[in-house]
Amino acid sequence: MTSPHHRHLLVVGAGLAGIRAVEGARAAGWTGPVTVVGDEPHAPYDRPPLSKAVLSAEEPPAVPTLRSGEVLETLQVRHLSGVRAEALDTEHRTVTTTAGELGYDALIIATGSAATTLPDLSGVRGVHALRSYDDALAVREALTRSREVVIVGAGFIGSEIASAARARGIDVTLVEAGARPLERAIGAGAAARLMQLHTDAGVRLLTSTTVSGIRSTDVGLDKVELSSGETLAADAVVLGIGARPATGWLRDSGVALDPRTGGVLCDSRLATSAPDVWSAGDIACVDGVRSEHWTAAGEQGRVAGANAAGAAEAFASVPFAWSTWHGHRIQVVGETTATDEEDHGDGFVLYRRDGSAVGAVGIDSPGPIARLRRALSAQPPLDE
Amino acid sequence: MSAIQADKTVCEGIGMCEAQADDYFQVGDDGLVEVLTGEVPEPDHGYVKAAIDSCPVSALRLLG
Repeated sequence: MTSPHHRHLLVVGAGLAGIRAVEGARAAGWTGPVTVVGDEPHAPYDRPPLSKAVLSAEEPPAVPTLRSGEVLETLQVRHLSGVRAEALDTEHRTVTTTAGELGYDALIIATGSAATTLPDLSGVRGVHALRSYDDALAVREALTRSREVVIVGAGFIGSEIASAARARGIDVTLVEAGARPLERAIGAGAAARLMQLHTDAGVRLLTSTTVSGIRSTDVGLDKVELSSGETLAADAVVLGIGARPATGWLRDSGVALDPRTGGVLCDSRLATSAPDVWSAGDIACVDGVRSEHWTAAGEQGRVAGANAAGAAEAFASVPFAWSTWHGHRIQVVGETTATDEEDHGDGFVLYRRDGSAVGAVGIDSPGPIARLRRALSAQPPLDE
Repeated sequence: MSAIQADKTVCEGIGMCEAQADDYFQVGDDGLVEVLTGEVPEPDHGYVKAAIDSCPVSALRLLG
């Protein structure tokens, strides 16, 4: 066994979960070298601003860095940017990357997810997906030049992009395949209230509709054909149709994946099926759940890092997400798919299970949301 | 001793600070951060700094 000062912690993925993993490991006493590998050319950065501030005409775009250089220096972490992990060998404890092979004594898998695209539309000029900072710059550039856009997917990302486009005075059509937007995330009443924000802001919302074709000219995108038979003029199409775990490099690695969600299977301590390999963030399927929330990604990163360093913490966190659409602040806390949905007016929708409050959706309702979040955090988690 | 500085014009009431250091931060009824204890003694520095660093909109600073 190597001396603790020489044991190498390798973190694959330089997003929030990866950086929090480094902080968690250092806080729990990891003294050996730490390397973070990220496939993007930027310093570790935060994703929520990509579909908000980075798209706004009100400010020049900037990489929303997660930590200052000073903080990264204090953490004594080596960041390899622009390096992609290609394979993992859990037996010999090595990760093959585009910059060569890296050994590890402990490994944290935090490669997040990749934006879902539509097969017929991938690579078509004028069609964008949004996951990375560079994607966000491309969407921003497209919005700068657009008068009419079609946004596919009325989930949180699509809705934020729609909001950014409306703020620029662009004509927006929001196309949603489902009959009920946000169906998997929140109840029908709250979803209807959120969709009302779009229509009030002048967004044209088309549900149960898909894109069936794209017509381009020499100069770019021209028309978008919809499943309804309608044809729309559009300068750009932006996809916000979800993301799938970036697990391609884990094929045949011995790290078990969840067949349903495609994420890396882990227990509540973020341990995977392979020894000394942990996982955190959007890629992690923790006790059957991929949470895909910023707050969960950060906390999972911290716990995975601490456990890699010898702690025995369990991940537990009240689900929480926030968004801003058309100037309205939206907050989602706890379990929001329970059938018992009570609209309290003033933009606050409460969810109950067996009579107890288990979650809420708030529109410009931060006080009640904060109080409920506090109460839920103080309780032991419900049976899962 | 260090002092916490909160910028309410930037705060979005996300509450990461409260989740990590509820002796020091609380999201009030207006949805914005309230600093409950402005002075941070040395032994609490670590977790208060972590709470401050975790703010997604960088509304918090630790001075001194």
